[in-house]
Amino acid sequence: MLFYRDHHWLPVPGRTRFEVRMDSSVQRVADMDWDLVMHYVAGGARWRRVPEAQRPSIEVRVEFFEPQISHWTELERLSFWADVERDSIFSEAGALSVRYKPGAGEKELGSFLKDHIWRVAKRDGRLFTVELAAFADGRDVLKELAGIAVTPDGDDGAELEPDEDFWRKNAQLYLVENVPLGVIQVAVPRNVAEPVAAARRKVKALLGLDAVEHVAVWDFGQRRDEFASHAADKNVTLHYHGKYER
Amino acid sequence: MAWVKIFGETWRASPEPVEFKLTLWREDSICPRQHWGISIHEMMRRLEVKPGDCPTEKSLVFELDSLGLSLSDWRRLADREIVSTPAWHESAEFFHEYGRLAETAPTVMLLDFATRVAGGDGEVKESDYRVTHFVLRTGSMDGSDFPVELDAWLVPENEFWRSEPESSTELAHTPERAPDLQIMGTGIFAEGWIHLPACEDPEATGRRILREEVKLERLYETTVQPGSRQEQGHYLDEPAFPATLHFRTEKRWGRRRRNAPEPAR
Repeated sequence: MLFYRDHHWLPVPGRTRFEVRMDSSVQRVADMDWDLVMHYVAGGARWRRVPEAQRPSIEVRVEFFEPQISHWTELERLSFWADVERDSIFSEAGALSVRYKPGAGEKELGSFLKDHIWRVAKRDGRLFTVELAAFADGRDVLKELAGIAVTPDGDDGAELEPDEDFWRKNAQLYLVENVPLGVIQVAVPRNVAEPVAAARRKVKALLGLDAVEHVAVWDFGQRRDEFASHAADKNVTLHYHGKYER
Repeated sequence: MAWVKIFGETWRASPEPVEFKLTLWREDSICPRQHWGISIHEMMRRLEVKPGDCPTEKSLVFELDSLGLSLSDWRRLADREIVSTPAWHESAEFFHEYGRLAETAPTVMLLDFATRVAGGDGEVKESDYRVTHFVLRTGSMDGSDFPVELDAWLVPENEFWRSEPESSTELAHTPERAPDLQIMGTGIFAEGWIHLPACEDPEATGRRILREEVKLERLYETTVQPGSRQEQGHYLDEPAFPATLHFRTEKRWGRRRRNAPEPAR
């Protein structure tokens, strides 16, 4: 469920997921690159005669967030909701990157939101329920939230969670979505005899994740283009939630 | 079909059924788990086939990708009315696990097979349409069949697509003319695909899931389709990856088209 510009948004599976990347030198979770990606396309009756590629779409990407975890299931405790350091662009909550395509013939709007908070509300198997609110004007989000952390009868001892109406009014973008831990990309030195087995061992050792659903091995050894810098390693892509993710 | 009328022309009756199909996505999918659709394949045979003639005079294919149904029992396909209202479109449209849009605008393909063409197989004139409005009604279950009525209003495919969304006025408009396509026939739950979790026994797992999800007990002609995907670059598959189980609900698939007797159910 996404609120943004009054469209009825349809989440796109496969492109909505947690992604992890680790190069061959990574030996701990803190050195991995973590991204959260969610992709939506406008749907509903009014758009039924507009081809999918020409409909409004939005990609919400939280890049390089820093989970303090030792096992993948601990993602369920992620919360960058209140106590986030906002002194720099790159906080532990990650950097928010948003690409909004209004539709055919209109100019794309990129990274127009300046601030965000997000958390994982629960886990069901490999699906994590993510809640994210983002703001365009850089207002003090925490102050806004503090303003409603009081019950209507004045009992300030009890917390009151903001409801959907609050987010529609105060956030430029608000979403609650089930997001799988989708893809882990592991770079393995070229001289390793069994790159897939090595990648799986590494993921199991560092994140406790074992049962993979699809594997792709990418070898850029012969490349002379932008992938040439990856030529020293073989890149193993482990898919953990369906083999159809792209 | 018992009766087909398209653009004012009534076709001769045939034994073709209206086929309801189910794709069952995995329980941990982020799309709706049940994905019901309809296929209608109708052929009008020539009454008199001369040497060199194509025995088929005309054919029609109607496909509706997503019905927007979630059923606790497949028999609930009966006794329904689905009208293509804006609310229905909103409830039935979604992106499924392949990341592809499950569409709510049905397609209609008409093929007109010309009679003898010297030295060739005959000319085929193809006309493609999209359905802008439809009403689908199903009657009471009779054994494993149920009656189906469809009224649909068509526009040529190239006139259907546009770059701007429809306005509220356009959406509220309902056609005043008679339906362009009317079908009456027998509906069946014909076949389906179950996307399985990683498991040791795909067939047993698929049967259990179908029993639990839509109370379907008897499957025929099951086929396990192992998981694999081509990618750019090098790729590697392992046998334990999730498979898909395809099934049919009747023995001797196509018996209705051959007017064969009903098998024991």
